[in-house]
Amino acid sequence: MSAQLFWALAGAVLAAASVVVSSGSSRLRGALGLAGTFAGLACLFALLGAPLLGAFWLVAAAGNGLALFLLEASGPPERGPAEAGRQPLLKLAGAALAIGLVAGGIAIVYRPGSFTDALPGSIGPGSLGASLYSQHALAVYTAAALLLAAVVATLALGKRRAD
Amino acid sequence: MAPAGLAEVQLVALLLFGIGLLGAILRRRAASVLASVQLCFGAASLSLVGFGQSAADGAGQVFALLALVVVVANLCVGTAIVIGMRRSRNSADVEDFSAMRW
Repeated sequence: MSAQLFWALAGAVLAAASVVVSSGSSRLRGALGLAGTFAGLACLFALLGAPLLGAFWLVAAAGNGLALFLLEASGPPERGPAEAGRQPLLKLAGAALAIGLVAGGIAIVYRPGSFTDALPGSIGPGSLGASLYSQHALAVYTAAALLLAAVVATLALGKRRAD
Repeated sequence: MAPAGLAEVQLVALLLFGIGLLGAILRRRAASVLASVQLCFGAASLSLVGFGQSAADGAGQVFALLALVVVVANLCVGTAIVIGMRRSRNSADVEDFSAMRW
């Protein structure tokens, strides 16, 4: 399959899945749509010569998507007690989805014989890491501080009791 | 040969951002709003990578990677806020939380 055809396919999947997420029809469809959106985005990143970024996006999205999935599954049922019985199944599906996204990320990085290696703007994981820790070291430290602040804020918000 | 030119990449990014923005404005469930915001961030990352690829250097990927860190930090705090909403009023409808106070 040529790169252009693969690009069009990934773009179509991305657009369709994002419409499903935005329409918010049901919890399960929303979570599956989110997974499809991230998978499409990761394919587009890989095609544009950024496989590591696609893998990172998939891994980060797996964590966030799983959190949203579990959050929705642990809430009140949408359509009465019939759906309440399906909630353990929903949690299992969320976990399987997250594992699948992480596996997809690993596959993108280690895919042998990539046809995007010769793209002008593409850089491999080693070059990207070297660039990050030499030219953009200050930005990396700032991002690390931001993540630490977010973790502390999340813990503080989680410990607050209901009014 | 690149699979798509700069215009195609920016068009896809614009479409994704528009869909995410619509979802963030129109949805009432907090988790759906968070998911839609995630779509907007994905569109911004795609746009940055597209510009980097068109300029034939890796700066776009570096910017997109740092933007991803902001996405993760944003969603960590957002998810904690949604959980707090559930705890305080047993509701995740953004319309129920119109007042801001400490």
